[in-house]
Amino acid sequence: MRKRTFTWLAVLLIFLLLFLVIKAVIGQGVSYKQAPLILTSVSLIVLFGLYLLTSRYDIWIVGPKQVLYMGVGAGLYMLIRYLFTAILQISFGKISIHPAVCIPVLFGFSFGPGVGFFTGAVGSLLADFAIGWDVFPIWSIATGMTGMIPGFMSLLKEENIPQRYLSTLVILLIILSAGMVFLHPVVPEPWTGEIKDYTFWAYALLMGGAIMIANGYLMEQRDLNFVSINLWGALGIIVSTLLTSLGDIWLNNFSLETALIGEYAPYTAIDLLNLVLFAPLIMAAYHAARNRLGVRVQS
Amino acid sequence: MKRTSRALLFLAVIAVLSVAFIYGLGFLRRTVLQPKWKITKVPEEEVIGFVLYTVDDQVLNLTAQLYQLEPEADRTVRLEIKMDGEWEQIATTEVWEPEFIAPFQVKDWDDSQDHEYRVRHGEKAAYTGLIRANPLDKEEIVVAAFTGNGNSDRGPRPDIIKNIQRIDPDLLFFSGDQVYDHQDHLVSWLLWGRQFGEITRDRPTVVIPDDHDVGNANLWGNGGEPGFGGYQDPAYVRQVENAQTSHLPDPYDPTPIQRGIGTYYTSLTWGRIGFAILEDRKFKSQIDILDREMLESKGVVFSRPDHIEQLPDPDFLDVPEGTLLGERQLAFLEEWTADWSGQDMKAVLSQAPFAAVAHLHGPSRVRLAADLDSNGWPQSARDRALGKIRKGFAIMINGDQHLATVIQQGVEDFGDAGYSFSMPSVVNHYRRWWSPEGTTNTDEEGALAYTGQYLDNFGNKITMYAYANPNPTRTTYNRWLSQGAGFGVTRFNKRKRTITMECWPRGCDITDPTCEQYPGWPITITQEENYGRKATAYLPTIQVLDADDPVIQVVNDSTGETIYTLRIHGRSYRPKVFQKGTYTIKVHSRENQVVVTGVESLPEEVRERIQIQLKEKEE
Repeated sequence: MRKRTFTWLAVLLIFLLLFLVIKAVIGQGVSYKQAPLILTSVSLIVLFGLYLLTSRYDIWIVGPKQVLYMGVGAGLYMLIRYLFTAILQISFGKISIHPAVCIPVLFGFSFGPGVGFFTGAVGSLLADFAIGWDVFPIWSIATGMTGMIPGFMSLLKEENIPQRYLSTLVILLIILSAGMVFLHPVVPEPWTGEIKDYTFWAYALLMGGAIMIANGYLMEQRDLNFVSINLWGALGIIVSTLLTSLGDIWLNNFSLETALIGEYAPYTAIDLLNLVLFAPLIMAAYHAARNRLGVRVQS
Repeated sequence: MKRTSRALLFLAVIAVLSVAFIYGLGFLRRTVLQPKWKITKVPEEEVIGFVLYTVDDQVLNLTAQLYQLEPEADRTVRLEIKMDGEWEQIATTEVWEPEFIAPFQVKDWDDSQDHEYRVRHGEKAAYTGLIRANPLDKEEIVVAAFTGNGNSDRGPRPDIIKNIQRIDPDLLFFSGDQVYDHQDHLVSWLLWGRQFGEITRDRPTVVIPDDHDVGNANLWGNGGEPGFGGYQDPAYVRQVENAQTSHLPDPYDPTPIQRGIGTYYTSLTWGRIGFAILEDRKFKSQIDILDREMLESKGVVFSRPDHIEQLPDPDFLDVPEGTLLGERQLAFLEEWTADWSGQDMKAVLSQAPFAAVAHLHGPSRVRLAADLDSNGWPQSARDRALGKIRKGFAIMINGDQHLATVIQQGVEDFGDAGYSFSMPSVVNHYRRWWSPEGTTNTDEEGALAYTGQYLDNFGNKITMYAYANPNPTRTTYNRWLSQGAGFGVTRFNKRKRTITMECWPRGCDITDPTCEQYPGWPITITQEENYGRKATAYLPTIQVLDADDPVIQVVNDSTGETIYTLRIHGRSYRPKVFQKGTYTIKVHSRENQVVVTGVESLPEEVRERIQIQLKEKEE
């Protein structure tokens, strides 16, 4: 157990170290303002707490293979995000295409929460740096959580908890999110201050949920993993986006309505749609590669 | 144990590789991804880098910027214009060093027609362009303005060049921070010329240097006096001002300030728009005029000498004897606002807005209680400057803040002075946000939240109309929007006497319907809104029988002060005044003037008329 704890602490420390290195390279000092420091610290403590709660499970085993997956995952995330964000920049109307969101979900689902977190958090740091933006620890930690949460998938199996509970929870969260936007659709945009109608994002959320359910029915006969990935990935996206949005109330002075309607709803909808559309494709590609290379998946 | 050790070893290897990768990528960004930009020497035939010019009152001022010349090279540069299809030499000048500029001044310039020009050096170097005819009869005069050409991107600016060529403005204005390399102006100024030379070669251009241009991070010039935030190296400042401003009309008062630093504040009339070109840093008081110990004892918390984190009362920071523009520029403004020769409308061009328009600063979005670099400080001096500027109904165009805004300034009350349009940065490496605390004033869809009347951090009254906050979201895949970068366009409609402000983002084609201005723009105001002070009384309606668009000046008889001067549109105008009493009204056309003295002010509902004949007096 101590070894796992030590390894998990090392993962978190490496994330912090890389954050500091990037800040130094781009020539910006680290903010020692109260809000970001406390939020970052609390997030890392929560992550550690999550580990402590579940440390008895084998999902936390980190061996050389998992470390290799971490490196590959973070690199892959950075490359795909750079490709779609800095070069291709494809979008359909308001929905931007960024399949990178699937990478931490798939790596977390396949190789455990530690790998999922590292893939998302470090990959996000590297991608933000490569694209030329500033790096934001809360956003990177949140992306890490998007990968970490699907890593808990096998806990349901071990505890004999039916997956329908998770399905119900995720669908309820999506409906609640959409309902919240329908009830109060007009709020100031988080950064620019323009007062906008966000109703579109309620429909986008429902669309994401509908595709997720449809994926479930279509894929159920073929591969149960597809269904689980969608569900766990959606939960990861919802939780992590909620963390960043609510954090922005304190960090960036957003009002609650702007944080929830103007930030949480659109980001969740975009990530959810990208997940449910691209995860099956990436999984199919992965299976093909796995069959060819003979890689074994933990799940 | 072995497994864990191996895992940790692997993690350490990944960390080391990631660090190496980050440094490698940083190195690549600085080298491969940045074009080679330190170019000071070029082949002989390319030695003329770019040209800047203005034409004012039939005087052409044109400066050619050269690359470094070999010691043995000729120092003479020739100016030619094409007449009847042949190039004819009209002036020669010697190269100034170390600026490597060739400034020409040609008097009795015929500004009624376009002139193709050619600047030549030696036998091989030639640079051609167009001196435009003065657009006197053009209904709309268009000014494109820029600020903050950050050096985090030293590449070309093709999107700006193409969009400016599409707009085809009559005048360009660069409000400062053209260069950010504090130690070698020539090399970065030549880069600026490669970035913008394609648009400056064919149209008049006003350039004024700001703090970064002259080698300062922030600048409180204080008349040239050494001190914290003062000019550092007078020789460097002279070099920068020569390079960037020698093509402007002659200074209003060229008397140098301390340490031999020159001045360039002046006026320019182009297309019947009068421009006052100010230096809003040169005379500004240094911050040591504040008694920091006393302020700290009152609860003011400084995070650095010019940044204040906690400010119990903005009035603590006001220093009534402090200066912003200085007495010399105030005297210039007094004269300029009263002089409407050849002008229908007026604008003040300066480095920064006269208010604190940003709340959050920098990558960590630090909320400051006050930033002394802003021209909202010193408050009393700011009020004095605005009090002068509004007398000419002039809009203010400026930049510096890395944050585009349109505000209406207030002195005694909200909206009683002119509008101020601040440009977005061309490259914004240090972002700022307008983000007042408290609730938004509006919930109207499509509007901007947090617009309306606010006290800025110094307690100055401002009315916010539009702001272009950076939008650093991960889903907005447009780095220019994430910076809030772009440029501004101001359209002066002389027939309607309106001013329209446009704020365009970078990276899109402005003729494409999907390329939209920043939210809140465009904004159109009338000329008279630039003196928005509410009238307490009126004078009789002036009706000029025999001249269109005369100039009307109102003078307070009890104080002798000129209240304002305006070229009216048409022949009839009812002057407003701000206190009851008697006034002198001066009405003049180009040459003739009628003065009516002892005019009693009237309540709004009492209407009287004074008829004036200007030409009859001449006959």
